[in-house]
Amino acid sequence: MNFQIKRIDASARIGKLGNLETPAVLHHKKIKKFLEDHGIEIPEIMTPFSVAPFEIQNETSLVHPKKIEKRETELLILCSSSYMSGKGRELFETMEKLKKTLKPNTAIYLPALATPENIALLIFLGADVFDDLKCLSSAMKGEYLTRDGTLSVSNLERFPCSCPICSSYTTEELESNWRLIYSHNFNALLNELENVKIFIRKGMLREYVSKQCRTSPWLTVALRLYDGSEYYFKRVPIRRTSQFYANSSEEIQRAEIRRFASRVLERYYPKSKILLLLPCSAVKPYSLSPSHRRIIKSLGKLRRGVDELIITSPLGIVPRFLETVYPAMHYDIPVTGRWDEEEKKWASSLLREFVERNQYERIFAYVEGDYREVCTLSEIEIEFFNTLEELRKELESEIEDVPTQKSYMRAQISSIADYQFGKGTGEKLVKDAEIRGRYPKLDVMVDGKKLASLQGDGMLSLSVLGGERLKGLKDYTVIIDDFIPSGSILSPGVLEAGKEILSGDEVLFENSRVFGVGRAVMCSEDMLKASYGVAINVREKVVKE
Amino acid sequence: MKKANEPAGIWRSADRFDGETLPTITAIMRTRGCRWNSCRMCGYFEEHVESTEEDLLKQFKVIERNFPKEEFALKIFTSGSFFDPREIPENVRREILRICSSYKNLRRLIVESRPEFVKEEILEEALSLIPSLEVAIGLETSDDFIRNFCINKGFSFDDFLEASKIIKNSGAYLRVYLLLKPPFLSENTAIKDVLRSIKAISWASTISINPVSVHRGTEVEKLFRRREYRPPWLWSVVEVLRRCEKKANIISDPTGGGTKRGAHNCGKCDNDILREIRKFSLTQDESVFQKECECKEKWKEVLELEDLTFGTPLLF
Repeated sequence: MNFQIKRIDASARIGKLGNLETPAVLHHKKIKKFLEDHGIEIPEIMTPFSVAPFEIQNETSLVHPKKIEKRETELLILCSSSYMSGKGRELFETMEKLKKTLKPNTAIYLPALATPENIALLIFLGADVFDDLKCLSSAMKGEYLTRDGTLSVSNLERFPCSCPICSSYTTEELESNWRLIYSHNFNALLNELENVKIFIRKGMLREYVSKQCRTSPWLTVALRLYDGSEYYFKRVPIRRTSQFYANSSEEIQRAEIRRFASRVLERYYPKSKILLLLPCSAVKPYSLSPSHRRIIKSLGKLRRGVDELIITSPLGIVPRFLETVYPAMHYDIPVTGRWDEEEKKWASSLLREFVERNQYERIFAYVEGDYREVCTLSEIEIEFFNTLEELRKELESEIEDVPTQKSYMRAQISSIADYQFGKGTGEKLVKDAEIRGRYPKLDVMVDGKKLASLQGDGMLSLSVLGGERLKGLKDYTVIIDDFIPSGSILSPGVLEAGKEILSGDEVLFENSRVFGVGRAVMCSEDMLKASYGVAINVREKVVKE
Repeated sequence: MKKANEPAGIWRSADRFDGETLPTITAIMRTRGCRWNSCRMCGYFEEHVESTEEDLLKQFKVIERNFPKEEFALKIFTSGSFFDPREIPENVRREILRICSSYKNLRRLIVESRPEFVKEEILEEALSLIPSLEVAIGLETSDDFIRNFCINKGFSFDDFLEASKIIKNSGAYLRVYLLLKPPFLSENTAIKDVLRSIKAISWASTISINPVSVHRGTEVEKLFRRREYRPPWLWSVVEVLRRCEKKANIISDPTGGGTKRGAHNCGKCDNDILREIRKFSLTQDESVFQKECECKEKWKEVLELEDLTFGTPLLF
C-alpha cells in the first residue's frame, strides 16, 4: 500500500493512503481495523512521551518521540503524541525531527491529539492521519470543543454551533450525556478538517494557520518556531498563484519574505547608475496602479534610464523589475497609513544593504510620510523630490541616453530570470530575444520561437529552447535515470538534483537520451529522499540523437 | 522526625484465612530499607532509617503492646525483606519469632520477602517456632518483560517459582502480591496482565491484587505529575476480582483507594466500590459487587481505546 501525495502546500499535503483520503480523521471504532489493514500490532508495553522506549518496543510502523529514526513504511504512528497537546515547542521539535528523518512519502499518524482547534496546525506541520480520541476523552470531561478552543459545557447557556447535535439538544442534555458532547466534538473536528483541505487546495494553508494559531499561545509558539526552521523553509514554494496575506507583523518572519529579501540582495544587480525610490501601492503589480501610472506617465521614457525601487511592507524593498515575482505581486496587508517601528527598521535596513551592495551614483526619492522616514532611517544619501515635475527635470538633465523599450523589457525579464535561476542567467536567456505580450503576461521570443514566458503568477516558465540557453545551470538541473519521461518524473527516477531547487521552481532535466524542462513539485532534498511521488511535471523535452 | 525505635505504623483490620475472618494487626517496621530499592513505583525506601538491633527490638516491643487478647493474625512488614539479614539481623529475627511463638492466640504470622532471601534453613528455623508462617512475595506479574521493563523488579518468574517451591516444601503458606497497572501498560493490558498472572501461579494460599498508588519521590510520581500515568480505575480492580480464576484466596486492599494518587473512579462511587472490594476480600463472594455508576461507561471506553494512544493515558 503506497501513500500517494496528490497535492502539496508547503509541508501540508493531500494524499491517498490506500482508500483513505488524507488528511483524515479516523473514527475510534475504526482505528483497530485501520491498524490491522496496515499490519500494525499494538504492543503491550508502551512508554509515554517523556520516557525513551525499551528495545522491545520495536514495531516498525511505530516511532517514539524520544527515539526518532528512519523507517521504511508508508504509514508511521508517532507514539504518545497526545502528550504534545498544549506544548508548542515539543510539538514543533518532534514534528520537525520526524519530517527530517522520514521519507517525504510517509504518512504520519498522530494518535489522540487532534482537536478542531489544533488540527490545522498539525496538518500544516506535515501530519496526515488523525483520530477522534481527543474529542471523546474531552467529551468525557465535559469539554465542548470548538475551533476557537475548549468550553466547559456546564458553563454554556447556548451553543456557538449549529451542527445536528447542537441544534437538536439543550445544553442541559449535553451536560448529562457526554456521548452527545462527543458527537458535537467530532462534528466540529470533521468540519475543521474540510476547512483545512480547502485552504490546502487554495495553496493558502499558511494564511489560515496564521489566523488559527491565535486561539492559544502554544499554537503560536509552534508557528513561530516553524518560521525559524530551515527544514520547513525549504518546503515553502518559490511561487504560487494565490494571494499572500500578511495580517500581522509576525508575518515578516515568513520564508517568502526572508527569501525575497535575500534574493533581491544577492541575485539582483543595477541596470542604471541612478536609483529612484518610490512608495508602494495597493494594486499589484505596482506599475498598473493609479498612483504608479501617474508617475510613469509623468516621467515618460526617462523612467527606463533609472532603477526603480519600491519601498513597502512587509517585503521591505522591491525592484521594479521584480514587481511581479512571488510574493511581490501577491501580497496584501492591512494598510493603516502608519508603519510600526519593526516594519520601518526592516525596510530601512534592507534599503541600506541594497545600496551598499549596488553602486549607484545618485539616489532620488519621490516619497513622503513613513516612506520618507524609512529612507532617512537607512542613513544613505538621498535626494528627495516633492513633485514629479522637479523629479522629471532632474532626470532629464542627468540621463544621457535612455534604453529602448525593447532592451528595457529584456532587462526586466532578465532580472526575473536572475531571481529564479541566479545572477547572470538572465542575460543568457534574453540575448537577442524579443518580448511580446501585454504586461504582465509576456512571451520571450527568438526567431518566432518561444524561449520562456512570464506566467500569470508573475514568474517565468521555460520552453526547451529557453532551457537549452541555461544548460549547465547545475543548481537547477536534475539528472534522471536512463528513461524518456512523459507527463511527469517520479522521485525514484531522480539521480541528482540541483541543490537550489524548491517546489515551484523551473528546472532542467537531463540524461544521456533526453533533455527537457519542467516544474519541480518538491525541493531537491525531497526528490532524492522520496521513494514515491511526482518530482517534476514535464513541460517539454527533446530526445537526443 | 522518623524515630528508629518506633515502627512506621501499626493498625488493626480484619483478614480472611482458610475461610475464616480474623482480626489482623499490621505493623510496619522501620529497617535500613529494601536492599533492591529500584522498583519504579515504590517509595517505601523513604521510610528507611539506620536502625540498630536494639532499635528494631524496641520497635517490636511497641508492636507487641498492640497484640489483642483474642485470636489474631500479625503482619510484620518491613517494606523490604524480613529474611534479608541486612534489614532484620538474624538475632532480631529469631527474637521476634521467639516472642511471637509465646502468643498462643497468634494464629498466623505474615512476613514479606524478595525471593532471593527465601532460604530453606531460614524457613525451617522460622517454622519450628511459628508453624502458621505465611511468606508474602511481591511477584507483581508473571510476565518477565513487564516485571523487568515496567517495574524493574530485578528478579524473574523462575526466581519466584524457586522460592515458592521452597516455601511449599517447608510447609509455610504463600501469599503472592500482584501489581495492577504498572507504568507503561494501558488499563486493559493491566487487567489482562493480572488475570494472566493469576493463571500462571500454580500454588498460593492468598493472592493479593495491589493497584498501583503514586508514592512520593518515585518514577511513577514523575509520570503522574506529567499526566503520563493514571492509577487504575476501581472498576478494573472489581473486574479482576470477578473474572480471575479463584485458585486461591483473592483479595485486594487498594492503597490510597478513591484518591487521585490511588486506584480511583469518578469520585462519586469510589467509597461504595471500595467497601465492596473489602467485603469481597473477606467473603470471596462475587455477588457483593452491586454498585453501578455512570462513570463505568467511561471506564469501558478507556479499556477499549487506551491502547490506541500508544503510551499516554486516554483520560487522566
